[in-house]
Amino acid sequence: MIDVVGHLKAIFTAVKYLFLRPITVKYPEERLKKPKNYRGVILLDMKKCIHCSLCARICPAAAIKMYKHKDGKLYPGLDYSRCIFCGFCIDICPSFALSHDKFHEVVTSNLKDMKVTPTQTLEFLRKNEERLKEIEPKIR
Amino acid sequence: MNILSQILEIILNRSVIAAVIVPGVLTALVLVILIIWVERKIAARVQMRIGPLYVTRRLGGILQLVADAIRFLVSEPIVPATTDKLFYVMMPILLLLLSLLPVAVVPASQSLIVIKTEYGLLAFIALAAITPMVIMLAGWASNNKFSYIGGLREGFMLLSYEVYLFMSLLAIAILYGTLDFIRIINSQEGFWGILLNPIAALSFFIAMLTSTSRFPFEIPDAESEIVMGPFTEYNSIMYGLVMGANYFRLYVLSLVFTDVFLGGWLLPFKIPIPNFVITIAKTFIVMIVAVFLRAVYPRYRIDQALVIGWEKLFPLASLSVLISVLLKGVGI
Repeated sequence: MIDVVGHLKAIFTAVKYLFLRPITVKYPEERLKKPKNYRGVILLDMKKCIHCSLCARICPAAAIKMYKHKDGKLYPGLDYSRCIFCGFCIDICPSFALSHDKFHEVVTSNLKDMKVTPTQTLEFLRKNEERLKEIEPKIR
Repeated sequence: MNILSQILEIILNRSVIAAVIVPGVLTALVLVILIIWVERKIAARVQMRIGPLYVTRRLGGILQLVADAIRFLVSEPIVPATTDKLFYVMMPILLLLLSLLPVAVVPASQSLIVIKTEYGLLAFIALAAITPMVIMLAGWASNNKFSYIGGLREGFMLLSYEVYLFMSLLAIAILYGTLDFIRIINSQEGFWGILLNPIAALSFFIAMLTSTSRFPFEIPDAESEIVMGPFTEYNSIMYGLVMGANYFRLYVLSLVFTDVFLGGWLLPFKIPIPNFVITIAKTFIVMIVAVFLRAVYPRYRIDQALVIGWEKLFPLASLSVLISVLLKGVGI
């Protein structure tokens, strides 16, 4: 006949869940705390770089391009419209010149700004952070 | 002056107030807007989401539905070329009207009733039985396979639920020996119908879910299978109307459930609140229970629903008639 117990169990489960706290994060106003090895935007320490171009070779999305700097040497620049934040470049870097930042919201007003030359990296990061600070998120 | 007083007399007539305010159009509209919000909020909370929020944030997004309604109103209505245009355009309006029509014979308090009749229950059944036909016609007029299948499914469901809907009301009619809503409610003094005949209440409630295509019987407009069932081709305000019509029907059936099984405006204790407020509050609670099931159940298949209707709920409803007869025989 009718499985009364099963129906009641289902209804009670739903009632139980009704009073639990939602797990949704209201994203722009609320952020999750980033874990330790979070893979955000990629920073370059130009003093440590040995111009080996390994990062550009390993990059699976071909996002890294070597730029010639004033001193005549090559430094990696990133195209964030291609970057998949896999972290291969950081792993392969022999002199630990590349590193991840916890910041990950790469937002620009046009596609051209997504291309970041070696000297622009920090400036790029600062600009994005400032824009997001206006919302003043709560970190959960 | 004479004309003015006559007009006022017409406007302030109890029947007109009942039709326009309580339990008629205005109450229905407010409750429907509230219940859709409640439905979305409950489903969200059970799934650990937040639900509608950004329209009137402080009130938890309660005006989301108003925003949706405005969006429906201002978007362009498109009538597909392949449809039967007259019927296609007519059906949403007819559906909305007919969904709310049964409220004409259902009272919200001793005097707030549009048409006072001794055959209220019968009239309600007759008026409530028209809507499924309109849904089927809407499915047919859309000239689309999803609409057609949806309309057909509505027809199938109709064959199953109408029987036990009527049987459970028959049980009540036998129990109280009358078809008049107000007399039914007055004879529930002290002992509500749901306590006297819980099986009739259960089968009426399930029939209510089935006829408004609530979960787990959301078969005619099963979104994951046949898009939106009979209303697939409808858009903008026409879709708003058919969606609203479904909730209007839920409102009317909940009102009947309240009147017949929950004692209408009767309470076991006395509080100084107008009668109609009590009735509407009870109705709203019944509606909340009905929409809450959306978060609980998956959807039955059409054959399963028919089997449940004919093999389980039909005997159950028959049993409720038997109980009524026995109770009557004992002399309650």
